[in-house]
Amino acid sequence: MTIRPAPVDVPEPELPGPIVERDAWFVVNIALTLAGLIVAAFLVYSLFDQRPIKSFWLATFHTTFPYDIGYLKTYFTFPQVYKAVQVTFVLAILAQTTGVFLGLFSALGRQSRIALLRVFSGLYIWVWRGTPVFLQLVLTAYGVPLILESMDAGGKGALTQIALLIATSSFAAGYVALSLNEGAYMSEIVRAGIEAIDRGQMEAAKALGMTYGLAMRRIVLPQALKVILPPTGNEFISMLKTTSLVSYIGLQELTLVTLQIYAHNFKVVESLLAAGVFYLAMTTVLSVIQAQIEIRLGERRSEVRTSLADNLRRFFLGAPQIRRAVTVAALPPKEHR
Amino acid sequence: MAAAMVEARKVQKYFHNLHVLRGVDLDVKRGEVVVILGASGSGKTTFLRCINHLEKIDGGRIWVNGHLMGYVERNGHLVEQKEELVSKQRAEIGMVFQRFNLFPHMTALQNVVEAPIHVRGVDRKAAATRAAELLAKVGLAEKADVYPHQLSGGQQQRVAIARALAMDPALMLFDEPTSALDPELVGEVLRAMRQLAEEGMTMVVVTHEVGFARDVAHRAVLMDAGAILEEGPPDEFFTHPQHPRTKQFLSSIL
Ligand SMILES: Nc1ncnc2c1ncn2[C@@H]1O[C@H](COP(=O)(O)OP(=O)(O)O)[C@@H](O)[C@H]1O
Ligand SMILES: [Mg+2]
Repeated sequence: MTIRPAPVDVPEPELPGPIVERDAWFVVNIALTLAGLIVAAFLVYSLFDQRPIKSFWLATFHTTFPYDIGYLKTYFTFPQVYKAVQVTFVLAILAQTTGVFLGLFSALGRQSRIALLRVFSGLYIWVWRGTPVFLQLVLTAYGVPLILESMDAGGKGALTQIALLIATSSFAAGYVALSLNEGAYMSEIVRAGIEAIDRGQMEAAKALGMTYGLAMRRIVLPQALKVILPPTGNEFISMLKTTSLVSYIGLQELTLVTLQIYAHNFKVVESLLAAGVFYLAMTTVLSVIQAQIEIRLGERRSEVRTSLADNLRRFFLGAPQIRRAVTVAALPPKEHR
Repeated sequence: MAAAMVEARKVQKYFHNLHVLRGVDLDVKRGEVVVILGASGSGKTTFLRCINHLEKIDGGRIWVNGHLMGYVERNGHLVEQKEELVSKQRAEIGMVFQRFNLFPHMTALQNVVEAPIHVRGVDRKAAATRAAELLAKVGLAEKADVYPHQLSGGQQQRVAIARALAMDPALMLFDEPTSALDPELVGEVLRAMRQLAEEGMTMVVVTHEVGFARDVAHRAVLMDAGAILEEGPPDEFFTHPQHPRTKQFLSSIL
């Protein structure tokens, strides 16, 4: 064995870092972005231009799209539209929340020691995921009241009360149908979340004297939440759009109100497009929030911080598939996680 | 019966067709440290898990602290206890796992106070004071507010020991507590265990750390194919093993 002499004071040569290579895509992206900016600037400019160029653009626009753009503004001032958006939102939130709880209970039910609970949960998920939500909705609104009434044999019992509520309130019927449907999907999401947690967690909790329920509540579910939250956000966005089906049973939500508006003023295309803009605005805001939450959850593990601006850019412009070395390096070695 | 902390009699365990425990007999006295050795797959983990009823048994009896573990006996048959009662029994037995199994969403201190608060109903302040003492005892006083993933394996395992001790267990079970650790981290965990043994804790330790077994254990046992093949004081056990299987096993790890 030889012992290396202590290093003498030799100035270390500077080691240059890696070169950032700019490939062909860089040029393409810059070129396309610039071209887009020029076209956009020109269009905006031409709107304010008083000279013939403006009328030329407008004429072209009006022949290819012969609809009243200004109507968008009018549509947004209709009070019934605002009421409808409220209804849409409230229904989506209520149905989603109930769906989350139904999903939680049926996911836990499927792992229960009680066979009856397992069978019930399994049947529920099987039937509600295996049939169209539209059919479920109509059946709830028009079929269930009849069934309940016949079960109650024409009496004035609780079943008749429920039947009456569903039959008279399209909101109640929509809420029940969408919640039940959502619960079946949430069940799978919750199950996947619970299964993603290492079994050692439940074992350690039990070894400390916790019961199954306490261990679930304190140890497993809080960890599973990180897995469950992102897909639940997607479900909520999806729910917001699915509420439009409830228009069929007469709920005054955004879609039905829009149909009524154009039945009145015959602006079919404009009204439907305006409603689409409204839906898109709502889902976009939710998607951005959702992406933000998802990234924050990931960050807590990787200790890399991203700004809202960063996330917005990623949301609208996307990000190419490049694995960033920082994120990987910041994770602790597998053995210690 | 009152003298023994653990009394295992003819414990049988099957995983489907696999006969994993074939009549394990083991007594552990109060304050005794017993080390279990044995080849991988011989049933050491399963036996430890049967002691605190994380695993059901298919035959035999296990008494811990004089109480039948996990069951009541009716007409000579075992009937499983209600979950609440089993949990109460488990609360008296600390367990330390090979893979630590700390709760990753809680700090070291939160890991330690969790069970005292939510299982025993100890108030937060008292639990936190006691937890801080225990963390100091395993040499991690300054890591109280750190999350498990920020700790080394050895530190995590010491937090796990503190977490188990927070329930004031009468018995501690260790399942290969150092075998997932880098070699230079083994010592710090063994030191904490040795200190515990010196304070008179009753311990059943599955480990292949012969040094620890020789210095700390009162008795070493060899488990082979689901039964205890040989046992004795560590000095004799390691220097004059009787059974050829024991000789063979010891030569494979020494
Ligand atoms: N949950 C289980 N299901 C099926 N087989 C198991 C299970 N746990 C352990 N075994 C089997 O039981 C045997 C004993 O395992 P174990 O007690 O872990 O041995 P050791 O800890 O001595 O290595 C092994 O063959 C193992 O594959
Ligand atoms: Mg093992």
